[in-house]
Amino acid sequence: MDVNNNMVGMMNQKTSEYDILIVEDNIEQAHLTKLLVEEYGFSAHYITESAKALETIQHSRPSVVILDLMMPELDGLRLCQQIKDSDDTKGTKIIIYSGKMYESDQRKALELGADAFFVKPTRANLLITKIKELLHPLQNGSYKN
Amino acid sequence: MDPIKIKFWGVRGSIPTPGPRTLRYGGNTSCVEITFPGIPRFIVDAGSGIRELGKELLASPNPEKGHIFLSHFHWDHIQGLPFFKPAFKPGNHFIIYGSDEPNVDLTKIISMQMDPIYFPVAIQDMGAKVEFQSIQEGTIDIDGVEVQSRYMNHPGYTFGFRFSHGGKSVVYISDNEPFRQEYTQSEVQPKTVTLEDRFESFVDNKEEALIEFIAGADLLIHDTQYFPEEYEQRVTWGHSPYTYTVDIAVKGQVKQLILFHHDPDHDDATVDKMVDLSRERLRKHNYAIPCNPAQEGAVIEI
Ligand SMILES: [Zn+2]
Repeated sequence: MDVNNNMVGMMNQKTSEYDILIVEDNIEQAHLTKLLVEEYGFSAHYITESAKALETIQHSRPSVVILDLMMPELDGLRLCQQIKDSDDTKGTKIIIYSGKMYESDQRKALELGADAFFVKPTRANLLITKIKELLHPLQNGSYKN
Repeated sequence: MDPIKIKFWGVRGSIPTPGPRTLRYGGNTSCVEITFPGIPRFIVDAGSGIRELGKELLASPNPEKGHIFLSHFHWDHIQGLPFFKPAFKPGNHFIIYGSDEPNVDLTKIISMQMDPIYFPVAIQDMGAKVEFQSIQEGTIDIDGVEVQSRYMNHPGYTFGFRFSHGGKSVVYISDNEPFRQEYTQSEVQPKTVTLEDRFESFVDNKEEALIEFIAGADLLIHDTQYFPEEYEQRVTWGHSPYTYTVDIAVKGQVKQLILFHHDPDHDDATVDKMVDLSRERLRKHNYAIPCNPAQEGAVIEI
C-alpha cells in the first residue's frame, strides 16, 4: 500500500490521491476489483455513476482508470474519449473491463485511446500484470509478486 | 382503448433473401411499424422492409409524420432508408432516433450511407422535414409513449427498445446474444476461495437487467437467428439461439413471443422447425404463451 506518487505528482502538477479508479455500474464487481488490486498493493477507489467519473478523475488524478463499457447515463467509450480529450486527464491510462467480447468494440476502444481491453471475466494475473506494465514508467514502488 | 398495432415489414437478419425458399416468412431485412392509437406512427429499424412501408405512406393524401428508431447501424437495419420515398416528399416529417458514435454523430452516420460514392441522392435532397435525435440508454416520452432504450450484447452501440402506452408494452430486441456464462456453475467451498477466484468467477452478465427490461411485456420481439448447434459455432456474432430467447421470455414473464431476425440461410421450413422447437421448450417450462415467427406483412394487435 506504500505507493510512491512523487513522479505522478511531478507530471500532473497535482498529487494522485490513489493509483486506480474503477468506473463500474455493478457495485459487486466494482468492490471485487478494488479488493483485488488492493491485494497487489495498489490504492484504489470505485465509482458506480459514470457521469460523475470525469470530475472525480480531474480531482483525484488516478494513474489508471478501469472502465466498464455498458453503463447508463454515460457509457465507457464516451467516457474514455472524454478522458483522452481533456488536457488535464489525457495522460491517464485506461483499461476497459467489459462483458462485451467483440473485436470491433475492442478496436474502437483502442482507437479512442484506451490502453488495454479485457473481457469479463478475466484472469486476475492478466489484469494485475497490465496495471503494473502501465504504471511502470510512473512508479518506483514495489508490489506483491 | 384501441389496440396497439404491430406490423412486420422486414423480418430477416443480415441481408435480404428474396426467392422461393423464403416466400412465406419474407426476405426483407428488419423493419417493424408500431401504431399507437391516435398518434403518429413509430417505425423501428430501416432495413429493406421500410421500402414497402414507404409505398403505403406515399399513397396517403395527407402529410405523414413518423418516429424512426434505429437499433444500430449495421446494413440490415439502415439499408432501406435511402429508398424510403416518403422522406423525399415535402410536407412529411420524420424524426430519426439512434445513437451517436463517440467520434461520429447520428446525422453523419446516416448521411454517410448516402455519400455519392454509395448512392446518387444525398440526404439533403430529402424533401420532407427530416430531423435527427441522438439517444443513449435511458427513457424518453414521445406523444405519451414511453420509450426505454437499453444497450444489448451486440457489437457497437445496439439498442433494444421498450415502447409503453396505455398500460401495454412492446419490446423490440432485434440483435442480441447471451453474455458469457463461463464459471457460473462453479461451486467452490467458501474456505478455499481466494480473492482471485472470486474475481475470476464473478459474472456481471447483465442478464438480470435484461429480464427486468422485458418483464411483463405484452409482446417481445427478439432475435432468434440460430439453433443451439449453430450458435456454438457463432459465439460473438451478436445473435441468439432460440433456446436463450425462449428462456428469457419465460424469466421475463412476457405475454407473447415473436421470433425475429431470421438467419439468411434459414428457409421457410427451417423457420417452421425453429418455431416448433421453441413452442416445445415453452411447454417444458410450463409457460404456454403464443409464440410465432415474424412474418413479412403480418399484423399483431395487443
Ligand atoms: Zn441485424
